[in-house]
Amino acid sequence: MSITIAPHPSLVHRIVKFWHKHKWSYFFIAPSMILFFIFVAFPVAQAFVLAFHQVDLRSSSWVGLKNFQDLGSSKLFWSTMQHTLIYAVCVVAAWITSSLVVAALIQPLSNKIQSLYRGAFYLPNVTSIVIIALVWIWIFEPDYGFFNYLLTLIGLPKVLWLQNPDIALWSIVLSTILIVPGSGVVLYSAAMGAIPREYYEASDVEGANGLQKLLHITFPLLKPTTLYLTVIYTIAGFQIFERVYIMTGGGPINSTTTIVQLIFQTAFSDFNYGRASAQALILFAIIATFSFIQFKFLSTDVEY
Amino acid sequence: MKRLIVLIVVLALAAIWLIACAAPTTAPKSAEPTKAPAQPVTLVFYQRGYTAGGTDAGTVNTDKAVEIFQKNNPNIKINIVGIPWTAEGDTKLEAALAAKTDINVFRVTSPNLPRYAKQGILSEITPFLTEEDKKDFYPSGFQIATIDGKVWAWPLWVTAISNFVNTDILKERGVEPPTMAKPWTWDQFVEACKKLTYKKADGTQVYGFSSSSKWGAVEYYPLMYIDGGRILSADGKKFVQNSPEGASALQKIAELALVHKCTPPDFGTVDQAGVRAQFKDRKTVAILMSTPGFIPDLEKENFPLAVTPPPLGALNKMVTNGAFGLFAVVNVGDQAKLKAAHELAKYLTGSQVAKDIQGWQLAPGLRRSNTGYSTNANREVIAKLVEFGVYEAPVATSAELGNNYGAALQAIILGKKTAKQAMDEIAPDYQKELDALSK
Repeated sequence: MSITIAPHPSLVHRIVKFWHKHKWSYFFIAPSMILFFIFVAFPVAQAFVLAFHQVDLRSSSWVGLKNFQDLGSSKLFWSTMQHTLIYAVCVVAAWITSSLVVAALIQPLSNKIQSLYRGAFYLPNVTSIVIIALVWIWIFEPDYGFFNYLLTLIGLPKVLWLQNPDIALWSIVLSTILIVPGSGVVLYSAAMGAIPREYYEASDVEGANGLQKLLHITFPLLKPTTLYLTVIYTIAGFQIFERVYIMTGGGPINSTTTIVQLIFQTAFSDFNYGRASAQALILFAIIATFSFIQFKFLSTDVEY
Repeated sequence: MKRLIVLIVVLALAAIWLIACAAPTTAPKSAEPTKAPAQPVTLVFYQRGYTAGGTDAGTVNTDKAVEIFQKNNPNIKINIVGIPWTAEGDTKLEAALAAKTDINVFRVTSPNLPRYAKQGILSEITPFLTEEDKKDFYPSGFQIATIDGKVWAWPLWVTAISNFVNTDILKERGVEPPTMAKPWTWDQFVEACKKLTYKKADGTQVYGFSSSSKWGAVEYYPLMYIDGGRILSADGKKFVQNSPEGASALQKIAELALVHKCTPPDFGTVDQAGVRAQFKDRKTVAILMSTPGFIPDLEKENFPLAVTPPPLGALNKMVTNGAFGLFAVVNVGDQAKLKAAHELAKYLTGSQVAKDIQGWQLAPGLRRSNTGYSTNANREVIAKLVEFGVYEAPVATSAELGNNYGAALQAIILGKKTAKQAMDEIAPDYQKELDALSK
């Protein structure tokens, strides 16, 4: 008995076959891919190239790592990194905690009431950050602000919330964490609702108390949501800009300047696109590193 | 498959139709010129704050100015491109200059002037100045536009900073405002500020003095010069504010808040909008150091206002400072276009445009012949202050240095550092950049 081996199809043949099979798929995604390449991929690639150039209005020259070396010796750059890191760490921790607590608190309520609360907590997400920042400026106003009014009611001295360089950054952190993130509440609430009741019933039979159920059932099963929210909030935390820009402009004494604000100033006040791109690349590397670490420690195979 | 082909054909036809609709229509032919053009030239004029078809005063005045210029120069046609007074406007302008698109005349901001000049973007104005022009301009006008000994922009006006006084508050506290003939000394100014810091019968706290002093604000800058100090040496090559006369003036500003306690708690961090609201709306500030841009708002509301000169310091001479309005011309190879562009810039910064268009002059002009701004006693004070202007040589330092310098000023006002300490600390970085620019 002889065995006939079919000839191996050539590369061209395989491409033609692939094209015949998938051409319409590519045709339909082409518009969005073209837009993606023009407005996302190309600018990102260009920023990468610019980071190694000195860019003037009508010319640019290769400067190698000079932009990065300059940043290394810039006190302002490192202080903005420090402010951004403090802000991001505090805000991510506070947002994860507050959204988890709020989601847990509304979980036992009826579906209608839950929806009402979810909507209420989500409302600030659809409000312009500019308006929120302006409201906080009023709350922190030294003479007529709401916080100082409360302090004077209980006989405490007024605080220069945004004018004192030692506390301005903490005031901005406070203004951020006092608003419970609606997206976190909604996602945690949905994730908690999806945990099968049988697990809790089984733990009741085993005699587990509320804390044990929380630590050994709820938290582990919420890990995928926690990972997602931590990554998203970390990125948002590192990209803080509008709130600081409006509330303090980075002052006083540069005590609230963040990295994105510095990038903005370098690019659009100084028009030093090379250096601004280098700053942006470093920010990208930091966010990528944090996200990698978070994936490493929080990722899970749990499915339910 | 058949349906799909039909769909694609329909989509393609729709796309062609849309492109056809979006294609520029033929521009309407301009009115016949009164004089046959010898060599027709079209200029593109980038104007800040201009909105095509807009009804705001800036837009209307720009349209009128261009209309009159075109009427007087029938061979020159002007296309106006409006850009906002924000970072967005800066970016659009930068993009236009970088792309070498059609741009001939534009409002240039002082911090960007040296960079544009050094990068060969601008056309020098000196060859287009007549002897009459040279005599007419105040020397300070050329000083701010001079880089490496050449003048790179047509000076329009300067927002000469002065002290705005709420006359009701001064009357209530029995304080006589100073005048150009009899300005306050520093001690008199401090005494007045202390007297004007008080609590009203209704419990409202009034403060003697304030000024926009957030990072980057320049409205209190005249006080920096009253003892004879300045930021840079006259040639712009040395940082000199750590000199005794530079530091003493800065220390005086800080002492208004720290020692004399006659400024609001946010002095040192308050922005322009905030401090103007304190002065105009809340009436919690008696004396405000500010720019002429605020005058129309106050006049519109019949605010009890007296414009007064800044106090005298150790220099014993009146001093003001402010931002310049400048028109620059882009360097292009076409000589006819270049000449026409300079003609336009010259008209827009001249005394004739101020006569042609009421309200054109938002700040005092930099030509002696231009008296269009002095329409009442308060404006007259501002116009007279122009000749007492002290201005820094234009240098293109980095935004980071600007940031650190602004932070150093805030540190002094907020009492975190003495003036001498803060200026000594920033001096090496400042000098390093100046040295690099001089190379």
